[in-house]
Amino acid sequence: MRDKNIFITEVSALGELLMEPALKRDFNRRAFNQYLVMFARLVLAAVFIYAAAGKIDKPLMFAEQIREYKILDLSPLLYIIAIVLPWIELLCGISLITGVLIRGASFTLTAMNLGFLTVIVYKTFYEMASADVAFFDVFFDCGCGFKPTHAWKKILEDLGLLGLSLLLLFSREYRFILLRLRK
Amino acid sequence: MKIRNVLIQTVAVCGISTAIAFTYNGFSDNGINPFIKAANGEIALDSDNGVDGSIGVIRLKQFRTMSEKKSVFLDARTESDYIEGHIPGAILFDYYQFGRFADKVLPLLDPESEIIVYCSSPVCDSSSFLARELFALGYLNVYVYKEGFSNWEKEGLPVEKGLE
Repeated sequence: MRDKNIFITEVSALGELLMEPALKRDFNRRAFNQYLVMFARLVLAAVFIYAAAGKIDKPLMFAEQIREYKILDLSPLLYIIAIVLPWIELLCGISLITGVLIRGASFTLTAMNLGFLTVIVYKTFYEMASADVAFFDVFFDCGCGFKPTHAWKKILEDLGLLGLSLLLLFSREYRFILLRLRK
Repeated sequence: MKIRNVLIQTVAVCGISTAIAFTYNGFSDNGINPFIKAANGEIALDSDNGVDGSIGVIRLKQFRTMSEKKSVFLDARTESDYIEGHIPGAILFDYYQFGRFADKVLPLLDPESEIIVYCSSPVCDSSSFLARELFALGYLNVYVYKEGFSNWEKEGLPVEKGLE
């Protein structure tokens, strides 16, 4: 009888532990994180696949758009970037959807977003200095695969994408993975 | 998250992309050879006048004086740029869709007439590329208006809008 009581108290203790608010909160937080991660994956994949599709078969056009930045005008390198970059964007997008090599893809996306942000900010200040326009009036085609917009909108957009890719990169775990090549 | 794994995966993603990119580039009609072209998009433009065996670069002043001759303008930019504004009488020839426009525009061109190709600004490539392509097809009087449409607008010259 005494033993049984002990058993019951133990079970109820376990139950209480399961209902422990802190644990419950942790469980909810992790579920929420997974929704956030899934959201980031889908948004980034959509943006990058769309951007890649617009320039994947137009390396010359893309090279021209890169040249417009007046940063890189080195013949073979410029064209190699114009050929390869859209494919990296496309494969990263596919990787985010399928989950294959997702950690590498998120690192690549983070690096690319940082790079894009840098050159767009550079170009914005360049335009401000050379054409003498106010920050909020700078307007150009960034060559990202979308229509020309105001630079400040593009910078905000890029910051958002950078945030999402950082979130993905530092996410502890991923769900909905088609094939796990590495842990 | 192990940094080593992240790096290995990154190399894998970039490596696979590069391999596919170059394979595709090799087979695509729009593919380019990154090692053959000279810097600044100045391809095969080795003189200021179209002497035999080369394509001429032309400046605004020059073709103003030869306007009494029969000359045709080709707009190498995209259709949306063309609709926004182009040189009056210019024919749209989007270089990035060469196949599509070649069928439409080439029959309209007289190989004897002077063809002046332009794109948006001095740094754009498409006019030079288009000129080289036309030259190879036997249109020997091809000139590139290197200063581009931005210069035309800046000079306050007439601009036509919309598709003809």
